[in-house]
Amino acid sequence: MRFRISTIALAVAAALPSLASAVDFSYSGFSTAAYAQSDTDDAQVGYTGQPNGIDSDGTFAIDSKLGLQVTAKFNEMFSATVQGVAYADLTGDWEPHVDWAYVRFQPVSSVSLRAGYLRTPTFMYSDSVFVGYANIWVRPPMEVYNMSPVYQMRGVDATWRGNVGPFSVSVNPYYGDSKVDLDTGSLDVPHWAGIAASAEKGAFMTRIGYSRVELGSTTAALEPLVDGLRSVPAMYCANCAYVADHIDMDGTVVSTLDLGVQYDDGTNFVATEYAKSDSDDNYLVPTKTGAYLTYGRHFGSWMPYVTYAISRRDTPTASPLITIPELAAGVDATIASGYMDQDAYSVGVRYEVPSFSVLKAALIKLQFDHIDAKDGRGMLNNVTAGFDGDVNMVTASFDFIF
Amino acid sequence: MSKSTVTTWVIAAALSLGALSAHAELVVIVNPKNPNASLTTEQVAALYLGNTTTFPDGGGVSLADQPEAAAERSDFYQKATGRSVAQVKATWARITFTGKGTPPKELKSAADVKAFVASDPKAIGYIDSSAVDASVKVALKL
Repeated sequence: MRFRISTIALAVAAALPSLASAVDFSYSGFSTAAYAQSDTDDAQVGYTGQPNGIDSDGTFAIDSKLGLQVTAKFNEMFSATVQGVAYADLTGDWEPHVDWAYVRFQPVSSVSLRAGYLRTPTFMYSDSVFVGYANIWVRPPMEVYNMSPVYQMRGVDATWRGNVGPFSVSVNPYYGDSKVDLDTGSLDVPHWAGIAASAEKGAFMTRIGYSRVELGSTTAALEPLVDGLRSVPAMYCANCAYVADHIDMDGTVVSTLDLGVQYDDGTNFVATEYAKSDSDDNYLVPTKTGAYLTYGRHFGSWMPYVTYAISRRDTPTASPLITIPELAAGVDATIASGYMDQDAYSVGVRYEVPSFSVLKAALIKLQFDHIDAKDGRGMLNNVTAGFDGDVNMVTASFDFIF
Repeated sequence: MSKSTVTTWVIAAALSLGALSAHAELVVIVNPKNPNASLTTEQVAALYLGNTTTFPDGGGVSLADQPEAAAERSDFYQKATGRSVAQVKATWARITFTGKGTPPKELKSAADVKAFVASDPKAIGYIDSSAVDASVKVALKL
């Protein structure tokens, strides 16, 4: 898919200059340079599936980003936008991606229709989460945002915005498909549908998001186990077929409900989200619940903030009895590699740097996280047997827009 | 001091205070053809924070900003939205990079803002009340 996106982007870019006389171009960009280091080598902090993460060696790769956006406005109704962002995806490589490449049609001010490559608004800040300057934290609370860490969709969306009584209301349905590149292969997403709706009044904003992601394949590494379980006749292993179905990701539907509230009166900032992701108890993409609460307060150019976040696995961590020892070991190892409960406590401060030169605005952030990973694993990557479940981590970032 | 001298002083002081406060008063202006008679602070804030893309009657909006160095800009955002210019930039960065809208057009001067609003029925801007004339309509005093 990356090749196809690049081809489309190149075609759009090539077509734009020939129309330049009639078109209003605008260029903008954003970047985050972030360094993070923890106090352990026994576990790494990163998105689930990433082959590497933050540990005591320190890294710039997990949180740093560079984004460039070009918008061509053809007239009041039609525009086209391409946004390329370099970041570390689930393959672990820090490389450029075309996150957004769409044509936008706005027949009236209150309605916008888009087609192309879009980022889905799964959670309250999902579609803008790479724009470090726009975010409070150095990274979104992983206990919620790691529940469904991929947002690249090819499809269409519609947005209606209007006033309902005293509320500014926005309703944004979307539909498309995707292919998720992983270190161990890729996952097809043949159907991805969702809706986000928000209402704002003064300092308050409430939002509800619902998405339904249908997976269409299983990673190659799991196929021998799934095939092995399915090859055993039911008379020898009553539970094998059931367990195979719950390890096989092909056909799994993950539906995620997200409720969010933001309060921002210019001095006090509060953001909270509660998310429930239901996978019909797939062992690898378990049914889980996540929530966080952030409070920050502006003091001139400074803003200290605190966050408390939790994540809970709702799918059982033990499978029904598998009587064939070789298969049982594989099933147990697979379940143990999945996502477990985790709590995180964060405290940080943001400082607004006076804008200079080509930078429209810039921020420095410093954040300390304490992660309490339950079952000696939490949501962490590359966990070793001796890990005690505690991670302390510091992150410093420089975020700017240009 | 005679009574009339005191009265004169009081009147003079009141007049100069009135002149001072008139100078410092910011007004939100729209095109005279704009059908919305007036706007509330909350409605103006919703427009300039990108929460809504239409006037209360559903008409389209074209937002104008004063230059970043202008005192009116920080004064306007503080009074209308309760936010600093930097906080507002973060809000528009989120909107811009998710393709949900374009930030207010930054013009070179207050005179340019007035001319922009005078020439576009969808336009909205803010200037010092002392600069208001018949080419624009005051929708809100801040």
